[in-house]
Amino acid sequence: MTFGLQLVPAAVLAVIGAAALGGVQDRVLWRPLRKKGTGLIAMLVVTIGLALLARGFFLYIFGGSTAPFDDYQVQEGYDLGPVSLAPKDLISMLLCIAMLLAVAYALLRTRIGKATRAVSDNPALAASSGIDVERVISTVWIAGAGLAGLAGILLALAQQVSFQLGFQILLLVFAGVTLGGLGTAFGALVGSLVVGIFTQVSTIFVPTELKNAGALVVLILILLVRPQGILGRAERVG
Amino acid sequence: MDFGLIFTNALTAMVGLDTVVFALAAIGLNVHFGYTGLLNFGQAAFLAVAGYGLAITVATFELPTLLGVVVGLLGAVVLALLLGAPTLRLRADYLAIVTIAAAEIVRLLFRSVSLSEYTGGSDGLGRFSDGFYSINPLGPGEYGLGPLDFDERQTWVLSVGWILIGLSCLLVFLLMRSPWGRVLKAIREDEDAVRSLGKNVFSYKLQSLVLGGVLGCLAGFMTAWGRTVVQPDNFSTDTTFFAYTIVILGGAARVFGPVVGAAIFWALLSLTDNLLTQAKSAGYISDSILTTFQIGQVRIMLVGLGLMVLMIYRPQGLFGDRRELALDAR
Repeated sequence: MTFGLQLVPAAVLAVIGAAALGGVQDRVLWRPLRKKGTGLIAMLVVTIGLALLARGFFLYIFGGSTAPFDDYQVQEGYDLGPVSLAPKDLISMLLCIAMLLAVAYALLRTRIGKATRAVSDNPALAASSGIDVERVISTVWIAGAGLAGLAGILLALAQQVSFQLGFQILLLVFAGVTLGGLGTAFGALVGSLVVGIFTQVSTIFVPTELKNAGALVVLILILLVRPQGILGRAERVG
Repeated sequence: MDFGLIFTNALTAMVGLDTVVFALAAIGLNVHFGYTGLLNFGQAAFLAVAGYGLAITVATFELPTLLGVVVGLLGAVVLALLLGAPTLRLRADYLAIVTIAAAEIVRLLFRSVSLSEYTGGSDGLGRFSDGFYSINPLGPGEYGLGPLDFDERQTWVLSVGWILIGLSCLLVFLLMRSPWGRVLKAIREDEDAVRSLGKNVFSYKLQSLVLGGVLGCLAGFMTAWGRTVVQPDNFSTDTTFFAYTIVILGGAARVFGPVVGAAIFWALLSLTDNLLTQAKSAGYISDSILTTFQIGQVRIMLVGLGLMVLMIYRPQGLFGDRRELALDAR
């Protein structure tokens, strides 16, 4: 079943779809659970169930094969000094930088961004100072799911579409967020940059097939030395 | 449709190799998650280290089976210490991230081409189970009870497996009613309170991680001997998630919870698989809805849906106690 849309409008629709899915998910699943007072760990286990369900669903619908997007498969590279870049990679990178700046601006300067950080810090205190916590959480779900959708499209542009697309990078995303410091807004950015550059550069020293394993080893080593991550606050537990 | 066959298959699955392996893995996970409240998302790594420890010792270095078992057990202990030492002083979620990462590292290492001289790469290793089957006291023939029917090799593997399950349950039962076990449960409920009573929480958590890992590594031996081959992709994160579903289904922090959970889990999967396969071959389901290949995906979807529904509506599982398990470590 295809609609034959060109990649760019299809991508816009897909990001809107992902964002809407995030909103719906929060509305029908997570909000009722929060109201019920379900613990964070229980919700974590529910997300694993949901991930298995979704992965099985995509495998069921699309099968186990991988496929590239129809558009922009082969492109002549620009020579920029020592590197050669295909236009689609250049545009992906520019889009990433634009999104990073937009998220940073939203978190630091806008009302909803400040409210988000307040809720992350202490939901009860945020609620008592007049922030609509539920609305903030919904917004975060919608924006987060939209960003994840965009990431999926860019990843599929660089690699290929497959039902494992998400799971392949899930652990590296974990590594990036933990490395930067759990719960810090810009830690995720710094950590992901470190993980991304490290995995690619490490192929000089380790076999390519082990580059992801190398990044995960580095994550564990860094947790030994600086458990709060690069930008995290030291927090004593025990 | 042959309902007799469907039910026989489901009964066979209840005592079969998958049930044995996942019951042992889940007993270990129950010590971590059910009793101590540790979020170990890398139980598959303990199975892999044990299975490969055994296989590499016996197949690659041609050493005796008993030494292979010792290597596997030591591997599980070392892995538990490696995972626990950096993370158990931190918030609960760090252990989750490090264990899931470590499980993938272990799988990728065993899979890698550069180590395939020792590990056999993605094809895995075989030819290591002769030592195990050579001490089989049963003569060739068919053994069974009622509708169940196994040959002498299967009967031997399953007997050893169920004996191990029995011993593990006894061990967990005795440990958890000892003062040591009560400290673990107290850590699950309120770590700070336990610490203020002068207990070394870190050390107790580490001991729990080692104990559960060693129990999990028994599952690694059983899967290696039962399949007579170890392959890296048998130890993917899905293995861990299946074990979680089993622990929660049976009832976390219950001695027999994981065993009952595993039996019901595999019986249900066998039931749905067989029902769908038979309904397909009888022509009740057309190819446009479900091809034979897609039946495996229906299974993954069912597990995911089951895990969600259980966790939302009945977090204590079938036999658990809701009051005992206020699942929220933080």
